[in-house]
Amino acid sequence: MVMIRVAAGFLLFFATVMIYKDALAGPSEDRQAFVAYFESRFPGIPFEEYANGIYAIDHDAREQWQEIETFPPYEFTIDQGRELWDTKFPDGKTYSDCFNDGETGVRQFFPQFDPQSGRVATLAMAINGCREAHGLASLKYGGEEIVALSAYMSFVSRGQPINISVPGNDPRALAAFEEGKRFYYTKRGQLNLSCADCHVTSAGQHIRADRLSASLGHPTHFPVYRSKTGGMVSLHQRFYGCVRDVRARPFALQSREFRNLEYFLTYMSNGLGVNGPGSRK
Amino acid sequence: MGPAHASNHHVMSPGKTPLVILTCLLATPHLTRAVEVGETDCSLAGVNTQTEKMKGRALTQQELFKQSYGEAECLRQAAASLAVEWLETENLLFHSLKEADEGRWESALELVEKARLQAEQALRQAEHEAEAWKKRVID
Repeated sequence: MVMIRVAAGFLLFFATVMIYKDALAGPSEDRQAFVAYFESRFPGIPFEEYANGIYAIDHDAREQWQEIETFPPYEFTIDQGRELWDTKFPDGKTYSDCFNDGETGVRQFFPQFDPQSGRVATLAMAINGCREAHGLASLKYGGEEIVALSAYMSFVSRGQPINISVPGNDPRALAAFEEGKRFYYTKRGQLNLSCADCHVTSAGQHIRADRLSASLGHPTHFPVYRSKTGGMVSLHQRFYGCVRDVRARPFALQSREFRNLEYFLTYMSNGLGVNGPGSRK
Repeated sequence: MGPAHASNHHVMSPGKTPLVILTCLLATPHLTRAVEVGETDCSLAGVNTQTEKMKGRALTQQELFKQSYGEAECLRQAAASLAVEWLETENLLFHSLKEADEGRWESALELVEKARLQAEQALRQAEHEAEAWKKRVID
């Protein structure tokens, strides 16, 4: 009887491990599986192409996009961001005194886990942190100025491979990554959809007249100019729109939920080149 | 007769021990089991329907609305406390109040019932997703 119970216990444990092994895998294994999924799903598309979002897999839309990129609608935003970047703070310093950017910028390193605060810090937060350190008020998240600065910083970092780390020695970093992962795969809202439902399972499929993009490469090109709204949109504004579109109550820009989602999603795109700002429909 | 019964399911805050366990029973006497709603305050019922029922008198539409609204708002707050609220629920409740203010009780009750169903479904969804998401992770 004892033997049967022990055997049943082992079987139950084994079954549980088999069911949840993928959910319990570490960030590195998650990323490898994520990339392999899309490589298998869209054979023949080079890894680096995923930085182009939907235009990696939608060839008709790609032609239109290339036309738009001839005279990029985000150029004015880059110029505005450059001007802000170079404007001196009251203490005579500039943003470059906060970011050790060199020739390659820093966009590729954000978001990052901040061990001091124990939370994920995004580029937008770092910009505001810099301002506060130099006696200036924070900029409104999603506002024109912070998006322009982000656009300029992305532009400077173009071509640099995304390089996000989840420090293995800090369980808080792993917890933040896991929370982002959970958010990504959790169905929400009246439409009962997860991020993965659209951008993994249905990637490449039509949603009305458009095709759904693959999640691999999603964060590389933000902020983007959206033809639909005729303005620049940050990654968190896009998250907000997606959550609202599935008829769930969205979270605030730079909320813990969105920062952790960005952490997970950007880590998944490690190795892809920064190519922001971009233009999208 | 009050609105259709709300769920009797047990909603857990994902991965957390709720700080406080309050119940929708205060607002919804016909519920048979508590819903864990974190720190949500469910004391919005405004009508002691059990007393009215004991008297054997049918509820007026106004009383029925107050009871239904209390229940729906309680469930909405439970969903909000778990960050799983649906987009339109609060708006439905807001408009139900406006209809009630105008004395359009049928319309008010219809809206509040929609809100209650949404909040209930949001909680059920969260309960299901507490484990279901793991099976979607790419292997």
